Amino acid sequence: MLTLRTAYLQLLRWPLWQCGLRPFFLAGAAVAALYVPAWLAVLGGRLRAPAFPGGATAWHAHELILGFGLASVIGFSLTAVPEFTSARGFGRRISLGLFALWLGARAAAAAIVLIGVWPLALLQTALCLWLLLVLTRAIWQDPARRQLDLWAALAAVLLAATLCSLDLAIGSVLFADPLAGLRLILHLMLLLIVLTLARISMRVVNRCLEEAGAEPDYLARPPRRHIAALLIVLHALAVLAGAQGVAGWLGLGAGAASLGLLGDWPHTRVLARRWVALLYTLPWLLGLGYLLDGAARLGASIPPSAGLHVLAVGALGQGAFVVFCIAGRMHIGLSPDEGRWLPLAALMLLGAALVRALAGIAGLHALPLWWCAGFLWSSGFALWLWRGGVDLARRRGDGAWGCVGPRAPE
Amino acid sequence: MTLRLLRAWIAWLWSGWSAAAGLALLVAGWQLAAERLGPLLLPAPLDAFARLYSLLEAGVLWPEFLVTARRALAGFALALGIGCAAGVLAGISRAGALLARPLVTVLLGMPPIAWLVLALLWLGSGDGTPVFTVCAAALPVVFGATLQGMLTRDTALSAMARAFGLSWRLRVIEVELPHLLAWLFPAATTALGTSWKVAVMAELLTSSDGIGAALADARTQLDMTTALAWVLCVLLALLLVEYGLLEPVKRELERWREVAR
Repeated sequence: MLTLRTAYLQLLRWPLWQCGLRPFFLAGAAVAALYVPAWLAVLGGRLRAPAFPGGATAWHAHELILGFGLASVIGFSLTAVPEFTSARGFGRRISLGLFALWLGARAAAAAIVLIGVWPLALLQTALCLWLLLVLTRAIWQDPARRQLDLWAALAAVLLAATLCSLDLAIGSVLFADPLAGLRLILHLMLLLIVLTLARISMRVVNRCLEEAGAEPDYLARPPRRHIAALLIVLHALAVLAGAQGVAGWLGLGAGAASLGLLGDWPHTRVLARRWVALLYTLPWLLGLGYLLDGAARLGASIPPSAGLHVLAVGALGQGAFVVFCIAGRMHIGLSPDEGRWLPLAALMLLGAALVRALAGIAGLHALPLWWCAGFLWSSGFALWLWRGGVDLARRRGDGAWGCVGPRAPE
Repeated sequence: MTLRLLRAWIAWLWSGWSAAAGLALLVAGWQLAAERLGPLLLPAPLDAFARLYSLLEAGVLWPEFLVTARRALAGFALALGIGCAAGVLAGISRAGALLARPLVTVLLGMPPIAWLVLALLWLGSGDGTPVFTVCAAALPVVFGATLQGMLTRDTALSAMARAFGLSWRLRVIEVELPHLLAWLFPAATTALGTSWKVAVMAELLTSSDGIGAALADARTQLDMTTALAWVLCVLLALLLVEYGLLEPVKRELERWREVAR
């Protein structure tokens, strides 16, 4: 018992737990880099997928949304919520506990054939509800309650993930099938991207404008963001209800509203700066994904998965990558990475989304395009793990602790 | 100048994405209602769009559309010309304004259908009836706005312009006109919408051609899909003129307000 406690205390001393984003960004990128090749091997008949409820496709979607997507959301929220609410950061025990649950859930998903669905469902439920409790406390401690929209989006993601996990165990009582619940979570994660993009982009773009000697007057106006958020939520609900036609029109609306977000951006040379360019691609990917999704639902000759993959591979993947690169450096005490690998990795992710969307369109052979998209996506995240991710496991070089930004040299 | 206008127009069109999102929300509501009510009462939006396209392909759409557009725009142009001139004249003096105010109330209160009956008796069932009815319905809106614009002019600003020795032409263009246009443009947008609606209504009751007459045909055949296709045609034309032409012009003309801020 003493040995176990000593081991636990030693584990707690690892630099990995000093900031919530560290383990989750690393784990998210690892899932992205490993699970997609595994899925391609399943498609190619070289690997057998776990006997997951809903079949192999449900396993693929489940692990990428609740493995990769949820890890990114957890890492981001554990760092962003204290920062946005000016609250104290979450402790190492919370990071370690949540990560243990997340890792346990991944192991349970892999061993589902041996242990059944319940361990996976219970671990994910515990993970989501604990995180929701922790985040709610932090957001409610802010007397001004400035982050209620962020809280609502996070709560929606976590509650949907909880319901989806429990529904897996009780046999699709709440949702028509496991994929329906996962689609809902994906759309709610995209809603989170729309809400947080404004906060991140205003900081990044205005800083770049200042550096370029221009007036830092970029303002992500709330009305456009609210319209996009409303349409994404309505679209998600219509998809969940199985109202194909209504979901189609709302998909077109969500696409238009996402492209409308670009109206606020300064269309000047500042867009060529890497951080601005990375963020600028997100409304494009959201817009394109929702337009394709809506058009497919209204009967256009587009495979239904094209839009969905632009949203998942493109918007969610690129969104997570941008956060990994910006927050994942700043909150471990490092200045932004100016390496050439970064735009290359971003282009790989962008290429993956577009190539995956092309699969099935205009009679193109799907399998080579799937392989190409999978290779680009997993390579992009593998590149980040190699060049940026390793720093997350190291001690801070500036002597500071936690998630605080880089300490100015004395 | 041309390049700047083109850029401003493109920026304006780009900002239309949010408006497109609003329209998609409206069509989603239509789709939901269509699924609840069934195709006999309310056809689905895609069916109406498909019928609109088939009308276009069959060469039926353009002739009817052009007839209605001619009548609506002729009536609108007449209303704009007469309404502006009369509004300016009435607004030049306070006495004129006092005399004109009850006139605006009476004209605004007169239902377009009453004008239609009168026009039918006076002018018969040609182009004159819809054009007259459109003009009568749109005129008070333009007249009232022009009058109000004239009455709310900044006389101190005009006096300053005179004191600085600005020519009559420059005073009108640089001082009076921007203020007047700020009143006139919203009214003109409303009047244009009214013109289309009244033109279609007038055609429905009095003409054998135009979109209104086509709507009447669809009604007699209980063809809801075709009726909705014609309604869509009118609405799309209205959206195109308002958002593609009137709004960018309005923004350009009101740019001085942004600069002043």
